[in-house]
Amino acid sequence: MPTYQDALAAEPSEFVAYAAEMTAAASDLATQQAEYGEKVAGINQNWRDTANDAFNGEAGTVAAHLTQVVGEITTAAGSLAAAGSQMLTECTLLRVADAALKAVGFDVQPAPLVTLGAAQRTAIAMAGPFGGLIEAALQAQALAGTLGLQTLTTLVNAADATAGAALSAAADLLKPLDDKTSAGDDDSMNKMAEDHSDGGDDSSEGSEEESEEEKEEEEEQTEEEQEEPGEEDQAGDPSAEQPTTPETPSGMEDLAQPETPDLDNPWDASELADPEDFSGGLAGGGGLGGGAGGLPGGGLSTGGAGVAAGSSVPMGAMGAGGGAALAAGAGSGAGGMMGGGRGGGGGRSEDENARESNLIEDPDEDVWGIGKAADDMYE
Amino acid sequence: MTVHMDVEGVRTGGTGLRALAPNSQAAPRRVERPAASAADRNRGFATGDAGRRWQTSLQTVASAVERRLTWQGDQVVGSADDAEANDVATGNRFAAIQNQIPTGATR
Repeated sequence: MPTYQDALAAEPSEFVAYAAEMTAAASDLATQQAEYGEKVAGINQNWRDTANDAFNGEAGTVAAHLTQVVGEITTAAGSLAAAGSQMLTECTLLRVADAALKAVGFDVQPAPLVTLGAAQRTAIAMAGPFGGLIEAALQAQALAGTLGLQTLTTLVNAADATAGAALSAAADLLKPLDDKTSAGDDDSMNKMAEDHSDGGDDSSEGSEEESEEEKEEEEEQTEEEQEEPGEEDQAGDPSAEQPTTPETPSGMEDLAQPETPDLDNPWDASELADPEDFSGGLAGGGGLGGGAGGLPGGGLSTGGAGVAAGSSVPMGAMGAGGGAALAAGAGSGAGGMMGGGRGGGGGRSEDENARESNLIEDPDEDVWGIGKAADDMYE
Repeated sequence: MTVHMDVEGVRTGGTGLRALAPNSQAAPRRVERPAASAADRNRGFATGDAGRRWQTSLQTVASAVERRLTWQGDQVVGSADDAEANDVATGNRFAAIQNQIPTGATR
């Protein structure tokens, strides 16, 4: 809020000049808008497809924005010009009144407050018996002058407050356009251009290709999702979700159930407490591992979890289970398929193979009860 | 629908949009000095500070318009480039197919 001194020193004509430049700025922007429209029209003469439609939608947005901004600038300029003119008048009156009071000998304090000047007090003193009368008349003039200056100052303050609020509101109304710098937006029109210029084919063909690609991706995702649950079981707590009916070869239910070590660490699977107990299981386990390896990813996961459940699958299958679990733990679907394909031996690392070499296979002991000579194709 | 593009014409138009973009700054530049002068020569007036703020807002708006026009120019030029590249690729495909078809007397 300007004080009396501020109002005296003010140059409200600057506000008027500012408003005039605002109007000129609105003209600049209108010119810019017109040139923009010409550019867009020139582009449209040489371009016709859906990408061009999108471009025209964009151009329409910018043109509407420019129209709105030009209107807001014009409104703000008109408001500021009116307020500036009003303040210019009031401040001019204030200066004239101040000068007139000082011209007749009054002092004007910054309040504003008009007081008697030194010359007036001298005149009162020299007036003798009429001094009191003269002083009363001068004090009445001073009071009237004070009231007049205060009124004008109040008017200047009111005009300034109104103009300032209006200009602040106008500033708030000026909203910038959103930036279009994201990669997706950048690609949008280019893709449309590709669709329509790609051999001049119908756009539906491109969309069909896209839909086919999407279907393929969805199928791949579905397969991955089918594999992922088993992988997650392996990767997570193996004991939390164990299959209730692991695959058990027929005729093997009566075999002694070996102790299953803690399978939290798949590397511990081949380190058995007593290799003698399971020595015959290596060959059989290898066979099971190979069978499990032939299954899809889901089958692998089941086999690995079945071992973890302590089923009747001999410990020889642990290599396959561990290998499958290891492959599944690799994360990707392709990795799981590769681990499964390699079977009991292929999915193991060199360390595991090295440990497995400690197992002793006794060909005379048919632990499984299925190693009959007649069935051996190599004898 | 009709699909048509004069690649060079569109590319020139996009370049023109890019060149037009900086002109958006003319408006805020024009009022920059009057805004500062009005505020400096009218100390204590709320209108002076509001005028500065208004000029800043206009500057922001103009900068956004400049960026948008530049972006549109980039998109238009990019569309022209894509259309040209696709045309060349299609031509090459047809040429490849033509080379695969046996030529000579058929019967």
